[in-house]
Amino acid sequence: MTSFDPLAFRNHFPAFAAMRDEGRDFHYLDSGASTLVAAPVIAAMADHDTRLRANVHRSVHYWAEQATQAFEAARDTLAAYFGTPRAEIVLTSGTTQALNIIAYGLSDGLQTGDEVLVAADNHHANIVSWQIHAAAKGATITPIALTPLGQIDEDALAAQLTDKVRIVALSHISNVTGWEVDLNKIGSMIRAKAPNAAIIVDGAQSACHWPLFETALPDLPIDFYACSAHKMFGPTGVGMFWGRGDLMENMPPLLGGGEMITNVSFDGTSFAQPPTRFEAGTPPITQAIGFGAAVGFLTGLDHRAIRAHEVTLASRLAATLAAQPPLDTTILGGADFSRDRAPLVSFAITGCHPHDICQLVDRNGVAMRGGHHCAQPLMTHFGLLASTRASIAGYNTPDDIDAAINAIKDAINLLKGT
Amino acid sequence: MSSLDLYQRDLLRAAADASHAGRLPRPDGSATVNNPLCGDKITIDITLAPDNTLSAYTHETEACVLCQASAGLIGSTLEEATATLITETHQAVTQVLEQGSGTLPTQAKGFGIFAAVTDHTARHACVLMPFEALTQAIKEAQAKTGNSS
Repeated sequence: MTSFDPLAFRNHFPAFAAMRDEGRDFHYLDSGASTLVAAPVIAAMADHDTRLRANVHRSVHYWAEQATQAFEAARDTLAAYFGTPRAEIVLTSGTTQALNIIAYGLSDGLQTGDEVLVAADNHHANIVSWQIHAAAKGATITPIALTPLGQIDEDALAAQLTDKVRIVALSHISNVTGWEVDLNKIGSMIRAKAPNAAIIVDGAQSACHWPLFETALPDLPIDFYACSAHKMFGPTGVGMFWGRGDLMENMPPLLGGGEMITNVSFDGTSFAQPPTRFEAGTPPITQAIGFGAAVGFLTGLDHRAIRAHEVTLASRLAATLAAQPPLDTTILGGADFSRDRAPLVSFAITGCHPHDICQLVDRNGVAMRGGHHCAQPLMTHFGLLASTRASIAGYNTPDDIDAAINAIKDAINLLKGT
Repeated sequence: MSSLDLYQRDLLRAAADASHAGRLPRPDGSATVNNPLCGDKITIDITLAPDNTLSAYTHETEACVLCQASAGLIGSTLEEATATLITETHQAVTQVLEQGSGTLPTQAKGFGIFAAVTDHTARHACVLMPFEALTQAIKEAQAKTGNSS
């Protein structure tokens, strides 16, 4: 295994130098919400907005041509990263918009009696979008049951798979527990037992380390995969989805306007081919160029070494919290991070509200997230309203974990008056 | 304003005040409010006297310290207050949160502890949730009893 130096890795992220200059403690453990932005991303976006600012796919002047080339080059970079044809990469404002475009497009073919299976560990984006669009067509939305640890209950899923299932919505990696779904295994089971089902995967938490999976998206038994740049060392406001060309061919667009048409008249409008059909209006051009730079940055990393480092830190945090009786802590999904798990440590401490913990650790420069993490059905599964989440990235160090542990202990002492 | 200031002794004491915790057996009005940010939940039961004063108040709170403190302070300072005074206090607390200071009714001076929350805009909803539930419960009670402010 290649050694990985998190302190050297930090040099790629200007936020650390900026916080050092401000004299501010900075233990950023909220990368599951948004990662820090890598320097090449900032540089690419600044360069575009400084020298080549123009709209894309419209004007013919030099700057517009350059902007269009840079925008489409970002699509090429994404396609190479995920191993897809470039025409199957649709740029969106983020994962949520991507999932809504997919849900709207696929729901067009649904009817009463059809069934949509939605894993109960999904982010709300992969639940509510189906409730809005598929339910409107008369389809039934059914949750996929979870095991006590919060993983998909494969036996329960197998029993749910029938010819009536038209959609299966999965989360590749839970944004709460970090558990990873084996897409090959689960996807193959769905293909075998529910051959009419399209499989949609929320990849928001897995895309940052896609090379770990050593596969191309089209080689997996899935049909759509969505992700966001801001969880991949990139900017906010841009994301993408990959979809199988034959399925996208028959999907109507959710949004209209801009270049997503071939002809518009009051007698009827015809739509462009994918991906353009799903990219209405002026796209997030600068952000897309930043997204391309982020994925270019990711492509050059040793993901296996980074993941090993991240898991070591996650294990240390989870084990420390779980092993200290005064804390009375529950680690959502269990404290074992040794396999099939991303470094997301969500925990609940009896008698201490996550928002209070997060507010108190903030005074020590520890950034964590408290709340339901847009996964209320999963919280309900664990019998909670909310939890505290420390999400770890390659730039985190053992010092960050120690700072978090000490700050959490201080918070509990204050809240419990001990 | 540091988080340490936010969690001052008076606030923690108010949050720990369980004297109005629970449910009323026969409320005139009830309301439950959820915080969409974190899923926190508060249910408030009340009864109104014929003169439109808050004659009984309980809260069942699954929420953070700020929400608990706000709910506790309502119980300790606004029971027997008129609906009008409750509305004035709600508005004054909102002003305290938005501006760091405000003219609180004399009876409700204790809500001044929430001035420390001003800089933490994501937490304003935590303080105001009990007031939102109380306002809804009062409306329900007024509709049921025929009283109005």
